[in-house]
Amino acid sequence: MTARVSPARDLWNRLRHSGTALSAMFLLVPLVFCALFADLIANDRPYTMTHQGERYFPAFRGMLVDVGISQWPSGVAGMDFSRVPPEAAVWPPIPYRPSGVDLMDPLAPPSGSHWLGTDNLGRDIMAGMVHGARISLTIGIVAVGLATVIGVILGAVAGYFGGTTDLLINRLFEMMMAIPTFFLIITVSAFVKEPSLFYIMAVIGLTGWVGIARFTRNEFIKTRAVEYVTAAEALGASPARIMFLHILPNAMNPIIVSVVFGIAGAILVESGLSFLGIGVPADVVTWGSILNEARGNTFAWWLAVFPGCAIFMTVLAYNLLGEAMRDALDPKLRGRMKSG
Amino acid sequence: MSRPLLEVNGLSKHFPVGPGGLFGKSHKQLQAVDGVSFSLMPGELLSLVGESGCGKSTTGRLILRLLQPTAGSVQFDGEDVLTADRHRLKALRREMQVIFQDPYASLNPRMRIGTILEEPLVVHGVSDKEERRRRVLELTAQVGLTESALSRFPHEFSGGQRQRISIARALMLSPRLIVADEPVSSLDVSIQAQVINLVQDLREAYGLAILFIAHDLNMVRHISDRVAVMYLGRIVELADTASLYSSPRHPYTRALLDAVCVPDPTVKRDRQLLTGDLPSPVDLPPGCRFQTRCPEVIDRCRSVDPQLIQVGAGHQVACLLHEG
Repeated sequence: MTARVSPARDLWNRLRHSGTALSAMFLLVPLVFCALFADLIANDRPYTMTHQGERYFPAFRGMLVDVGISQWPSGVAGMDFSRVPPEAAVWPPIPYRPSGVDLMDPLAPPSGSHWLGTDNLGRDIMAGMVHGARISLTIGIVAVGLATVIGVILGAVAGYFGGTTDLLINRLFEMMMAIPTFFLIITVSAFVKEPSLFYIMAVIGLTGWVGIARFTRNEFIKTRAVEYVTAAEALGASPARIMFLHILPNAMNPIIVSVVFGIAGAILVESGLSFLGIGVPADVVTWGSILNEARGNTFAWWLAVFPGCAIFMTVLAYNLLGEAMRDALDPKLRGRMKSG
Repeated sequence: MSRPLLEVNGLSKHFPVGPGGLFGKSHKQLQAVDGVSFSLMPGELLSLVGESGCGKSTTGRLILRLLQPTAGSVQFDGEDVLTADRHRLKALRREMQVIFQDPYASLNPRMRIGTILEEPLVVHGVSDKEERRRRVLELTAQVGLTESALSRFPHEFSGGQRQRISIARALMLSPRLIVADEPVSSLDVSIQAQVINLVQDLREAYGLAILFIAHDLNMVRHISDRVAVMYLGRIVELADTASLYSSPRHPYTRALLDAVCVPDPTVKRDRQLLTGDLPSPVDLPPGCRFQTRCPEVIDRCRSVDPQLIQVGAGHQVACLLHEG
């Protein structure tokens, strides 16, 4: 009898021994770390400080205040933390926030106080990079999450029911594919009054599901005819139960892989949009918006090089991960799936 | 005499084949099943035999309404299966279950055995977890598996074990009819006997009616009450087991019986083996479907399509040689 190994465990074992997967992890782990702890890595509020004999933790308190579950204690409310004497406070490694404007120090090259320099409003690029990681990853994951939900449902329905349903949904796929996503997003942006990140995620998600839907449909058509599915039908199980409990778990592999590639694609689209200054609010600093500033300040190489590298590395990391997962899950898929 | 549990009347399934037109309509039809009629008494085992592609599995699926028939009717205990609405159909599915041929394909590879066995109960609304557990354990024991099997995945079992799991799943809702679609064809001979015996035991214990689809005439002889022989989508002979094996009437049945292996090399037999090819089920010749291979073919066979007629007590045959 073979050892009991769950599919997830099996995947992990295979990824662990894959060079491609390890290099993807090497790039992704610091990125995810930055995204998760951005507020503790780059913040213009000290970790801890004493003020008029009281001890405060502004960096931590600030996170709670920002999400609205706490308020500033009266002693430090409205306080400008940059005036706190250095010996009274412990600061994060990068004592700036990404949108912290300092008009006295615009377009400073990389130095000891601004590791990656500043932009034309004196905003710290390093802080922008760290917080930008969070935005990029969030957009990638949320947008693709939305696309996955839409794609899997439509693909499952088309593949399982077949016939006219399949025909209609397929025409919808073709319509979506005939429209260049990027220009659709630009067009839709024109109608939106209030730009916000959620809106960007929604648009990328609502336009990016076709690939996932097609893979899902193919897998469903393949699996629908297998006897355990027929057996479930003979039991009287509902179509929803059969689709999502019986077929979907067996159809996951290509879906997972296209989701990973999809994240890379979504990050690239978001960078492109911010570069063009579409959709992202002006006060939010993203990798793409830093890159955009490099256009008007061609001598400030740091505005182009650092965000450019970050975007490149992130997209590369997701593509490597997707490739490694594709090989680990199903070597037959090689060459069938394109990246991006 | 009591009422038949299952009555099949003129059941047909024609698949459209070949390239369709602009709107996907195809004019050629493949007659997988054509006008099949028979009935099954409660607790009876009827075998459906025939060569590959003769429509026996399709017949099984039509009866369970896993495929939508082109014509005909299926009555289960007096209720029409084919026109039942969603609600009634679900209730009917409690009563008729299926065992498939391929024990590797019929169990979901991502589900543990416990989940697979529990599913019929979940689907049919047995909400009490303890009760489900009790029933699962009861049937696991009946098919000769231990409790430890429940936490395992299907790939950890052999073909015979998997087939027993399939049987347990089919019996979970205490059905009255089982369609066994070649349940042992893909198993080793030694395991076949084991599974067949299990089916027999359970049949007695539950009073099950079984439609046993098979192509091994040797095995069928030992377990069936009656046997129906199919050829190209039609039943050509239907009789009590004893009667069919002692005096087969249809030339095709005789040829099938001649082809059966006898495990004794010293026996000299005067065998008549079939020659010729099956006609295409898309392009059937007029007249008898068996005419191209029949050793006793007469002129009338090329023009007259024989119907099933009574030739003895409970013995029906569709052959012009036995008419009149």
